[in-house]
Amino acid sequence: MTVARVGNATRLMAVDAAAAALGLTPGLALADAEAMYPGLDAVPADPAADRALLDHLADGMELWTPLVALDPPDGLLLDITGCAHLFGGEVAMAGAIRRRLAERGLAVRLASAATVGCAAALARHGAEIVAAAGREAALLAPLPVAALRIGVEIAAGLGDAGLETVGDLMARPRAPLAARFGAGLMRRLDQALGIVDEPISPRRPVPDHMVECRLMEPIQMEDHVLDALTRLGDGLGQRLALEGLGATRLEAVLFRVDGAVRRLVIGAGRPLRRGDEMRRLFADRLAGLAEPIEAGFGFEAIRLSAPETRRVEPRQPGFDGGTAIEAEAALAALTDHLATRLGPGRLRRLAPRDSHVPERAMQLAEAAAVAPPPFQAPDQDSLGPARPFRLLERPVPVEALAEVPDGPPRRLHWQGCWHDVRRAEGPERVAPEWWCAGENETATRDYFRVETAAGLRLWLYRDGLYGRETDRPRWYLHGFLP
Amino acid sequence: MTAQALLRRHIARIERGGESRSSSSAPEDAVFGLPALDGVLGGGLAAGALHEFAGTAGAGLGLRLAAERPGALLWIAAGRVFRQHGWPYGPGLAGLGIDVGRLLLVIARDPLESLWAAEEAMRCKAVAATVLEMAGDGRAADLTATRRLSLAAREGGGLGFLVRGQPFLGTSAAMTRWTVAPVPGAGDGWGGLGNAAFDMNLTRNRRGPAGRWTILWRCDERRFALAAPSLDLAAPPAERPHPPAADLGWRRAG
Repeated sequence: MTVARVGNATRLMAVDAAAAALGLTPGLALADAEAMYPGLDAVPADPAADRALLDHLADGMELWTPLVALDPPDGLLLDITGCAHLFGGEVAMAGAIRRRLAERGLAVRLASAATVGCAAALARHGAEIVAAAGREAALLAPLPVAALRIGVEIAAGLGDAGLETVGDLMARPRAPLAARFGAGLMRRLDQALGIVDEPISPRRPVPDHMVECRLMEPIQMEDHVLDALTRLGDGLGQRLALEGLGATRLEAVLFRVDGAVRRLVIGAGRPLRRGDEMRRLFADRLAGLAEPIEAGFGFEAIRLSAPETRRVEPRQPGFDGGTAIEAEAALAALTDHLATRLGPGRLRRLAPRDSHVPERAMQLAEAAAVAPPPFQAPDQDSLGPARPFRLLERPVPVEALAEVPDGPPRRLHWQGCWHDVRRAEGPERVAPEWWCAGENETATRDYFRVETAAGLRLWLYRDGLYGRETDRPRWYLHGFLP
Repeated sequence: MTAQALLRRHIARIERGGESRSSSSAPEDAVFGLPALDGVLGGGLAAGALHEFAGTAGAGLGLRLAAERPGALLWIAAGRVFRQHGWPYGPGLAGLGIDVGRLLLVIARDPLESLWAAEEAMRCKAVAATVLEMAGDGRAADLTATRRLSLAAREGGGLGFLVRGQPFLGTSAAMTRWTVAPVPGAGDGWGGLGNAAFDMNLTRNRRGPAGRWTILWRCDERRFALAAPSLDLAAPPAERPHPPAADLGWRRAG
């Protein structure tokens, strides 16, 4: 029995079978209930935990059908169209679901009908039956109006009007009812009767391409899971091949015996069709997980789906006997392998950006993106390279001595020791981007390419123009020249 | 070797022009273009093998040596290394003549993960060169690790470069081991920096003797050159049989 505070009174929110047998009903004040039966065992209601349990159950229900929707606060809707025969018919399926949930210590009410409204009404207020299509009106008639999933106020209003059951409602003319209680009531009634279609909105989009296998014996070993995924992958690949597609994203759903569900998602840069390729990436994914998936008593079913696919264009090998295509495939396999194992953001390529500010002229792009446009080689203005080949993430402040305030440095202090500057080229003046200067005020930079007495070639800049922007310009090391 | 492979090799030799005709290098090997170095190396840095550079300049050197080979370039290091030594900078690499579009960065969490990634990358046949950079002396890349990397490189057939921040005193299974350090260049005579100069100390070479050279990177011609003897040294006497004039790094003005 759970209780919660509603208004000024603590009321019962839910009762178990024993409490219901005593005549206690939800909505009763706790004080009244305790007056009748002293020593009641009441716990505070926890809607968040209820919701979490419902989500958890909904995950497990995907074992039966991919179309699972929540019916808060305490219901789950399963669209079993086209699934029931896999489990020996609707009655057998309902029995199996009930047995499975009872094993986990849950009391459930199950009903099946041709419409969502009718099934929900039967499960909450009627008999737990598997109703044949076409009998909705007869089954709904004796149920209370609240079974139509309408608001409490409307149900109370109907009660005041003397309309207790759905049958009373059906016997009345529609127009006055709609005028008094709103069109929502009539829509609910029509939906329950199947006059108006009511689609359920599943929790997750159902992928177009999906294969699954039920295992006779639960499997626990990682190798066995991967073997099963390989076989599933081959099957999925054959289906995709028929449509000229390949999977670029794959989701494996592992159903554990105790109802827990584990999901593994992999992405691929090139469309996949072969089970062994998928196996390799799933193995990487498993190895890269921060915490291993716990097999517990084993997985009883595995589903593999391809939420994202891409068209595979067949390619003709060139005169080199197909080595170019082979090399491309080998490289794509390597990048997928590394990206899946190392995690997102670990594989990058350099992409140019249209900016003259050195650190903004390049960005680290995801490697999976399309090949970036090439970089322009910088203009040579001397024998030495104009740009560093390594750029520090943020410029390092250095102490520098210059002969004149706007001249090149003569000595600089970096990493704990003084370096004599033998030669310097510069300045190369880089002004801030005035069109976005408002965000962070930056000063004009004078870049110098210097060579120290030890032969180090550094790319330094002086921040701020002496006398105009600042009186004490500071020096920063920004990169390393070859 | 099939007739097709022979033909391909022949065409590659023709395309690379005259200067490589004298060297006996196989086209797969990465050549400096300097007969003095390439000869000692048995025709260039061997492909399908691991080469070790001590000194951070080695990363750019390795990429430059692999720039002419077809295939991807991978630069693998722990994230800390990239943040400390700087990220590869596209415009600068393009200035070295490297096709940056082929370059992939792998940002590992720790040295061990970068070793794993490098082994996988070297094993791939589509990778022209793998540069594995390690901070400090990279002691995680010990004899066992370098042996694994060598085997992976042999399987993949690409160039494997292991770049350490400082020389590693332990043993290594690399084909060649170098200590690379920038040295002051000669300048360009007008107060500018001039060509970059590197002291290349070959401390171990499985295919020939060790040696030490000072090489220049000629940025405008995008090739390596041997440095002219320092002007501080006494000029070589005239009766020496090998006048170094041909190898002097002078350019003719105009």
